[in-house]
Amino acid sequence: MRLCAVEDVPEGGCLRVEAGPAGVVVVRVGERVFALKDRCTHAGARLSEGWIDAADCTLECPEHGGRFSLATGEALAFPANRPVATFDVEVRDGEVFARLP
Amino acid sequence: MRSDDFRARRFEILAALREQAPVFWHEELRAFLVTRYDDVLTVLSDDDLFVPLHPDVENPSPGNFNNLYGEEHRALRGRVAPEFFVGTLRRNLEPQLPEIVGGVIDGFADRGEVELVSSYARVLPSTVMRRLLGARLPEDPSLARFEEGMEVLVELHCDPGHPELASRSEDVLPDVQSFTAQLLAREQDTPGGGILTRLHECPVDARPLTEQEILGLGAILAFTLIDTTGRLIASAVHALLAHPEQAAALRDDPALLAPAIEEALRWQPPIQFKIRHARVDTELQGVPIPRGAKVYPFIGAANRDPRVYDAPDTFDVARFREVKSQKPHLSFGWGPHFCIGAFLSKLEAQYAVRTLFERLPGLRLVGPPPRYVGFEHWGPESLPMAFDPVTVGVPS
Repeated sequence: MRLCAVEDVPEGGCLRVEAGPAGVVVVRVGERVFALKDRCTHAGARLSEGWIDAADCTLECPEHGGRFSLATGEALAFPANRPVATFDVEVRDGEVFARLP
Repeated sequence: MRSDDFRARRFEILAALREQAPVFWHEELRAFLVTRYDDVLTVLSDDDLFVPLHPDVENPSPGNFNNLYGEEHRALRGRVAPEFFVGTLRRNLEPQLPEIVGGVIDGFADRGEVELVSSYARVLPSTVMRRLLGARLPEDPSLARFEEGMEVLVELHCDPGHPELASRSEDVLPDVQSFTAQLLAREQDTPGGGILTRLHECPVDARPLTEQEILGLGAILAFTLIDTTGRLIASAVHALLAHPEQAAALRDDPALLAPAIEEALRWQPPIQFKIRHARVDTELQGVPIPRGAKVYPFIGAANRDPRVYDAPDTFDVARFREVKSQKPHLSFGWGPHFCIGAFLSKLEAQYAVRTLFERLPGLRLVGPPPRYVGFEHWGPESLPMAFDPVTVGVPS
């Protein structure tokens, strides 16, 4: 499904899209676009309100600092230890599409 | 439990309890001590079963959301939580940390020796908290008397029948109250303001906080975030110096800094246990716990549960290099009461530890092995250290 336009997402930032049961956070780092489930696996906070480290391609949960890989969703820092779901993304004509389950 | 023996052999005694009596009624403390990881997790996080205060007791300290649960807790905590969000701290505080930490080290770098607890570990978090609260928190000795006073009050709360604590609490109460009153007075002279100023601004659809609540919040934030972060910095530095091979591993691989701080938190949690009360008649490990009974989920014991961690008594900076294969330590609690300042505390400790080792070559402990002190709050009493003196402050 279409999530948003690439230009809707600030460079080095993210956008929450109302899709799926928890929403999707779309992140843009340079030419790369990532889509993850917008819910921290620790306590359910919205990752779209978190902090993106563009150099490391990671996203930190706003509330308690759990850290996730943008590419794989792997948990990289406590209190998170379970991965967050990631979605395959395709960019066509400046539009972001993702395969949601 | 308050004896010197329990202080000196704390983890040994907790290990024996964890294996032989994981839910243990302590007659003197009038509380159940809970020592296994899974049970501690349940008591910390399940607000349907365990709540901070006795279910029939009103919150005696307005503003202290730690005492609340459910919707009331969520609403009050929510008023201050955004101040501690990762983005807020990364954006507003982190850029100041090198200057804050460097400034404190500059104060003693040319001396070649320092008592680290009083001159560094406690100074950093109080400097940070002054900036965050936007209050020029009174300096020592007034700040130290406030913290000592708060500690007595906390200990009395843990052990209400203790006669010496009860009499000391009467002596310290004026120090705590006068400090708290100054929070507001100082705040008014601070341009720009901080957390305390913003707490006066009432969001739409919310009720204004009373002055008493704002002061209560300020006092509890000042105390918990200064005292516990100070203990974390001290115990992390101590753990690294007491295990030179671990300090060397960290020096060789800076990516181990964050895992090393997590391990320091697991190893010597600055808050050893929390206080909970059964909200209903319940049971743990087959032991009936009546409604209203006091329960201590012992974080210091859960963090060394061999059911959860390999070689739990070993300090290993690489243990949490990959968190996906590990259960989190419980040093910040779990569930709705998860420490509001967890990220702040870790951020400060990371800068504090890294900068100290970078700046002071030859850093080493001197004197006898440090004593860990405290009952609920816990950390090294003092850490006398020597290092190769460094020249500071000569402008080029």
